[in-house]
Amino acid sequence: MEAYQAFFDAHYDRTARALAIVLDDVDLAQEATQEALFRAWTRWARVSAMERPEAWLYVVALNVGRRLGRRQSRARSGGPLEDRAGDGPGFEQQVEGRLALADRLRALPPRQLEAVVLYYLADLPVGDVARAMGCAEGTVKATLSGARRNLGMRDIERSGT
Amino acid sequence: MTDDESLRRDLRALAEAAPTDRALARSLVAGRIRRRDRARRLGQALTTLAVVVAVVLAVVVAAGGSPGSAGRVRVPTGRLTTTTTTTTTTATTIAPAPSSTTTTAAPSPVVPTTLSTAPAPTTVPTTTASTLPAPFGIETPAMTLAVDCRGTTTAWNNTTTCVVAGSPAGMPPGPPPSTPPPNCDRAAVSVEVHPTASGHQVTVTGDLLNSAGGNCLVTGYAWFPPTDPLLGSDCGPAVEITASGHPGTGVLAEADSPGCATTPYLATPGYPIEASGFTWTAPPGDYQATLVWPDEGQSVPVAFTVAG
Repeated sequence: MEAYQAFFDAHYDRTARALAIVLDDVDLAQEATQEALFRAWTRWARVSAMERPEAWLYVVALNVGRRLGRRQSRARSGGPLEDRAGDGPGFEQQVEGRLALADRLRALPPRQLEAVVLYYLADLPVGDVARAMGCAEGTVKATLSGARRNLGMRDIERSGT
Repeated sequence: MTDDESLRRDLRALAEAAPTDRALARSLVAGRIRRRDRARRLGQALTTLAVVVAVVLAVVVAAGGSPGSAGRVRVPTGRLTTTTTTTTTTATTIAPAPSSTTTTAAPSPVVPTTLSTAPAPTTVPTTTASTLPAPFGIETPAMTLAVDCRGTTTAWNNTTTCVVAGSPAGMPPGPPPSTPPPNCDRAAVSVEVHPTASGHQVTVTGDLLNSAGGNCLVTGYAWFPPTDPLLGSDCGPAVEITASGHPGTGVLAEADSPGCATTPYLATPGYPIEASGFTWTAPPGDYQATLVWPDEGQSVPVAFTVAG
């Protein structure tokens, strides 16, 4: 199962970190990613044959994370993402920037946040984001447009979105 | 740099702030896979032998005998005993053949690491007084165990494990409502504490079995059919374990869809159904781990304390 191991190594960190932003909880993100990777193993023949198995991983991990988050919303231990920033050169500036971005992300409606993370961080095409969010591509584009406005970005027409 | 590119860069920088431990994750996922594979093999063995039972009984009846006269039947793949009652109910007890049990140590698809999960709770020594379970059928209160591991271990490699076993609270007296096979009526929750420099690492796992020493089955349940857009319907876990203070859920692999109950998980003597655990760094305080088997609506909570 070298292919599965390679898949695991290639996508665990990226998926867990993307979910940490969406869920605002590092431990919850890791748990959800592990569960999603476990499910990937149980359906590996099917998942590995997908055009973008990493998209499937994000979607399943996100679903698991949402469910666990609802269940454990009163018993969180992971702490918000910005608390885990490490030390190093420019530490204060890095933390300041992260806090500002984290605050803006946290202010987004949940659907906009999911769309932003799936599109900008997970690099999923709009079609996959739409499947992940259970909506039409046009809805994803509108959601991303609203997110850009809320993040203070210029809302210009783009060919992709 | 466009706004899009800037946002991508900032998001990645923010994401990089999240620590991940891939080695630990691989170990934990490997544990889930091993437990799922073992439970599934046992379930398949049960299904196969059930077919054999049906065929044998059909042959006996066709030959002019009665099911009750079949008595004890030996089949090459295992030891199988059938008994009958005056009703149409047939109790079946099956001990898996050695070939079934020796396949439980299947190679993991993920390379195990030294950060492996705890050993099976049924084999680890109990380091604190455990509350022994009441005989099945007697109503018992929720099990409570205070775990104080303070001062008992100091090194990474040393482990303090506290185990409590008990029947689920509130279970009504009398025999289990459905036979065969018997219900899973006894649970063991293991709490393992590793003292580390950064705090106590706590691992919780659970076992589920039949207190009378027989087999038992649990099945998955319909879970989130509409929310897995790429896979369609799915089934929930047959057994899961949760702990206060940790957002995750340790899960014995979910059953296959459709139907959810078509691939039950089987516990046999010496081979309980295990809920794969999870590990987190727990600040000092009071916690509760709960083993749940949702299909039966049963759970066993275990309270424990992590010392400062």
